[in-house]
Amino acid sequence: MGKAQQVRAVRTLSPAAIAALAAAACWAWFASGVRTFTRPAEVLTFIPALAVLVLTLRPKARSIPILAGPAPPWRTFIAWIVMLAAVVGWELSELFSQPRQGHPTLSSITNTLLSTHPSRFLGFLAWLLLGWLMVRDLGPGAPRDEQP
Amino acid sequence: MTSFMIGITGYAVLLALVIALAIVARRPGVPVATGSRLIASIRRTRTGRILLVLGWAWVGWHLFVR
Repeated sequence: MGKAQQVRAVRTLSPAAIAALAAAACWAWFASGVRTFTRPAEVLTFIPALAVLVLTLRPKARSIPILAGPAPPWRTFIAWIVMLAAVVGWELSELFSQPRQGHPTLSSITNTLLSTHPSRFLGFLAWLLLGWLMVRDLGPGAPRDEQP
Repeated sequence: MTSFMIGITGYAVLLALVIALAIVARRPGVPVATGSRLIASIRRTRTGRILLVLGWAWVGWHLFVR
């Protein structure tokens, strides 16, 4: 799909897309309102995760053509790997430092950011959106995957 | 500066570096893959897609359940 087509598609959302968006927002609102460490929290998070996993695992799921093109050289990923190593290293350094309260981790930072219902709602909605992005371009009509 | 502030500053610097890398990668001629190309490369295989989904699911579980 070209850029102009994508813009047009976003501007003219179909009724089904609007309904799906509204359903996702409702789901996110309820899921972000329940307490952690409870059965409702487990169920409301597990169901979308399972749905995305099933859509990814289905035998006919194939990647879109852009994913089936030639692979870029591995050296173009080195900077990203170094960055990931730096983040993991810093996280572990903070995690194993004492006293624990004096050293923030990504978990403690996100817990603080997601401590209110509105922020938690936005976080959950963003999580659902990421899940949708991972399956939206998987279809039976696309070319076969590249063999690893 | 307290150890807490040092920790927060470290994460802020790393976030800034990630954003800078994503911007630099979009410039033509730079031998760094863009963020979208990186994700696309992981998703090239079924295994990569499954690992990505499992990572996504773990993040959701960690943030919203535990």
